[in-house]
Amino acid sequence: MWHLAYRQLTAEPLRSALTACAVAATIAVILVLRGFEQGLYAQLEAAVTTRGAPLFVAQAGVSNFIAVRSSLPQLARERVEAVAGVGEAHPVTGFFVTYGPEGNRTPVYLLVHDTLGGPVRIVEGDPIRAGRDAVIDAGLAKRYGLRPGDPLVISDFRFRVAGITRGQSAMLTPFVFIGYDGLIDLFLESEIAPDLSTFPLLSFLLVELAPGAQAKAVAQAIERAVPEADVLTADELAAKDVALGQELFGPIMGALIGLAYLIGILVVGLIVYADTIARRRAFGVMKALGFRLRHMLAAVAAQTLMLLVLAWPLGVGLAFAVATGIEALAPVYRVYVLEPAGLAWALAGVLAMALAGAALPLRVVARADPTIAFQGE
Amino acid sequence: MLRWLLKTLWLQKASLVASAAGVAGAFVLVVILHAVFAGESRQMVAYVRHAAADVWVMQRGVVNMHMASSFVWAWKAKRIAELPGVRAATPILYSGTVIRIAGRTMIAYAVGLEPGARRAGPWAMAAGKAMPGRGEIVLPRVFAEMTGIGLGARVALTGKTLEVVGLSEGTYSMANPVVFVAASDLEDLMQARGTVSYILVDAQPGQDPAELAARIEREVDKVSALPQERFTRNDIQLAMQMGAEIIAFMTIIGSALAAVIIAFSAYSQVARRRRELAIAKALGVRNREIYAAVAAQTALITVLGLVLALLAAWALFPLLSALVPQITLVLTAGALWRAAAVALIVAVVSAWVPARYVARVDPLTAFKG
Amino acid sequence: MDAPVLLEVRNLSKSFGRGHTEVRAVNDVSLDVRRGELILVMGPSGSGKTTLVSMLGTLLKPSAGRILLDGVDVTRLDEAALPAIRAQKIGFVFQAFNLMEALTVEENILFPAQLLPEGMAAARGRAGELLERLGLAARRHARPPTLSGGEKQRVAIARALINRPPLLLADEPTGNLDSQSGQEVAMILHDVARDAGCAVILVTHDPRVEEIADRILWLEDGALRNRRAERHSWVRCPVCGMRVDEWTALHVADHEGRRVVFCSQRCRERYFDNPAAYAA
Repeated sequence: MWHLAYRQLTAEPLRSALTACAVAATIAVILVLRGFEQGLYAQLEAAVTTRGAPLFVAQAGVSNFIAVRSSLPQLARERVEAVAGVGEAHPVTGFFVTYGPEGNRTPVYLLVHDTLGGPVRIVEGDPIRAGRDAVIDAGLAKRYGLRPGDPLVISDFRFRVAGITRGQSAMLTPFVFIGYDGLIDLFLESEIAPDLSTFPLLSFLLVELAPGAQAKAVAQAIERAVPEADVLTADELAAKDVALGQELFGPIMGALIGLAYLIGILVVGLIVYADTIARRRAFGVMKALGFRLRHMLAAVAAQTLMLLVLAWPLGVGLAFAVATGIEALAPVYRVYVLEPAGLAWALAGVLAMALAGAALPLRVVARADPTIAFQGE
Repeated sequence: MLRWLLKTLWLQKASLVASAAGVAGAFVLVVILHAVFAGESRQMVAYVRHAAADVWVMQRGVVNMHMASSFVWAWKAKRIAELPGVRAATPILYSGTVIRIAGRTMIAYAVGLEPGARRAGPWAMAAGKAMPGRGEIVLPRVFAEMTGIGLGARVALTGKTLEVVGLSEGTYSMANPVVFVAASDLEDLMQARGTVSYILVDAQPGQDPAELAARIEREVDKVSALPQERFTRNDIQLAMQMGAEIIAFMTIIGSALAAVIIAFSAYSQVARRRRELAIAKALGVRNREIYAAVAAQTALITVLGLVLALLAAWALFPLLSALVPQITLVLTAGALWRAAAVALIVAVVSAWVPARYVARVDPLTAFKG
Repeated sequence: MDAPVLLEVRNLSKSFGRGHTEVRAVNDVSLDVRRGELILVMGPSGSGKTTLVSMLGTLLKPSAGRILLDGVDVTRLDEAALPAIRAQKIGFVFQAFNLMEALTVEENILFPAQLLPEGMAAARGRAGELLERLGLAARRHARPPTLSGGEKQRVAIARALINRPPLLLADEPTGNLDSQSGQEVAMILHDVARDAGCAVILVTHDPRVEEIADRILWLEDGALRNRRAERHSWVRCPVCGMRVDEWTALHVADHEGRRVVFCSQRCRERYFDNPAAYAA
């Protein structure tokens, strides 16, 4: 039956190409949606793991990086650096603000850093050098047409875009990196913190280990030395943020991906059904020749699987093209289409979808009347 | 030709229904994200709408609540309360946070209420008391449903363990569920001494809110004051803005998918009837008459798909929201018009493939066996 | 004939519908068919020929009666057992050819061979012989849309023979063919019966085939008459003058004590509108 399926596909190349395209389009939609979901989680993970340190010191009870406010006493830094095994502790502060003119506002994540935890790489412009410098993610730059040198007004305070980075966004929100000088200037000008020693300026400490030190041991030592803090490894923190993201985005993405699979079943079912109807006569003849139901079902299954073999690489290619387009048009999003585990799961899902779709015209095949062979065409 | 084509479609009802269903699915993909953002943005401003202050006062440069950070000196609330035209000024603390309930970690926004506060708390209760004291918390009822907890349960808010004393209605949204705690508990967590986040200002009867807002900004340094309506609109716009690009992408992707399905379906239909097309041509029917019939066919499949999609959305969205309370889906008139416009373009574009096929059918094949 | 009986049919009937809408398509047919016989089944349209052949080919279950094929009562078999019978004991040749358009000539011929226990590989040799014998060797890689009607039917016959069935059923095999091709196909079927020892049952309207048949069975209103090959009785239609076989004519009337034979209902109506104009 494989040979018959192959022949049937190659006998009408245009029709086969068109059907492969229809299935490929559905596969591409599934892969793009899955890739978008994976991208959301990957961004959450990267927000933590690209900060450059193996350990994170946070307010006691805080076990997430983004989407939660953490406040450490400002003197916590000295106490942490005094712990054996700690190389250096770098302050980081993060919180959400909104940016943009009224009617076109977007949230951004303000990430304040000092000696570590800043943008991974600058793709345009310069890093932060002066107090009011800011480095923004390309997603924000693209959305508002910002270039290095442009003003960036946040909370009524005027920063200057020094440089643009890439891949620094999470929770559909681009990052804006500033230095502590800029933060303090912002607070002073907005008059909300005349006494900085009482003001929550410190969210996390990024801890680098001394040579030979063990992360777990150092973490425990820090927690003993600073009881008002909790210490997590970068992996632990990233995992918790991903879990939070899954809780938030999981239901809606699950609904969308489920819908895409449903469309896929209908599309494949439609294609196989149309084909089966067209070949109803041939199935009747096959029955007359002595073929059993299982042979004919094997013919349908073989054809469906061959169609998948054609459509899968097309679909992956199309998904990759769409993902690249989305990331180019809106750099705040990441769409991970070519991730091996994701592709494997998607392939399994698509196979199941194809077989479910092929089952739709089952009745037609089973009821193919062999006496149709005696009728004129 | 049109009659022939429609009758042909009718003969293959199952195929027609499958095409329309596939197309409907693609259209639902187009509208669903808009419905999510529309639903979310309505839910997101539920607190602001129900708190119903005449004017909202916040840190200068801040214009909304969701995903914003605002610090205002607490004493400014007293200052504002003394201004002419102000009946009351109620400060609240407000912070995005993470809450741990029954082993699950979820995003929440905490509103810290002053002791004895009579407003700015929950507006409808499913169970328990509305105003939490120190060490207490009021959660959205949906949280309780999702996690299977009830009154008296203990939850963790960034290291503080609080007892659930009330379950509120209407305070849940996917991105902005609101929990209520005592201001002192939130102060500890935010380490915000002497500052508040927002001040809810109630105007004297007859006082114009816009005038009052302007007066507050003149008389009190470094604050923004916005009338309720504008403040609410800012949050809605923010949510829709966040979703604008995703909605646009999904519209394009869903439309492209719908076009491919329709083109394929229409092509299959005419390809199966090649002989009849050849006969029609041999009988003198012109190409453009056949094109018109084919275009009518793609239009019919498109319209059927759109109608099915809207019926599905209308019937299923509330059901989906009930089954999965995290998602609120709202189908707006704008989304419907957009879907209809997209459908029109899709129908026109997808007629191209079968039309090309029709052009190439040779009437001579009518004579062949 | 001394050849053994391959097919025994006893009191075979088939009805469609119930009550006052019941139609008896085949009515109490009994016959024996020996190996090597070429038998024609003839009769007017709607006489039950195709229904009879469908039952003989196990494609249709009879309402009553028995069919013994090579000693096996196929009417008592389960639906699940019939495909094996069709694959190994019966070959079909159809008026509409029914070839697989996507497969080449050789692949079409070999198509049913995959149903044999020994598989396709063992049948390749036989396929080659059939290609040679039926004059298709030069077209083995061609696909059906490029073949003439006669070539298609020869492919169909080769396909029917690949599994060496003892019984070949052909339904109007020359119906879609020109005169020359029709004669070729008729002779091929004759040779198949003679040389391969197949029993060949042929449903046809084609008078040329009568000359080469061993027996002609006449089916009328579902009942079978066993008769030797006889000449036709040609008369002329009084209205248009067309030659009509009196034995098989459908439109016959009695007028003024005389039997009048027409070619069609239209001529019959025109005659009775004005009999005097045609009395001659």
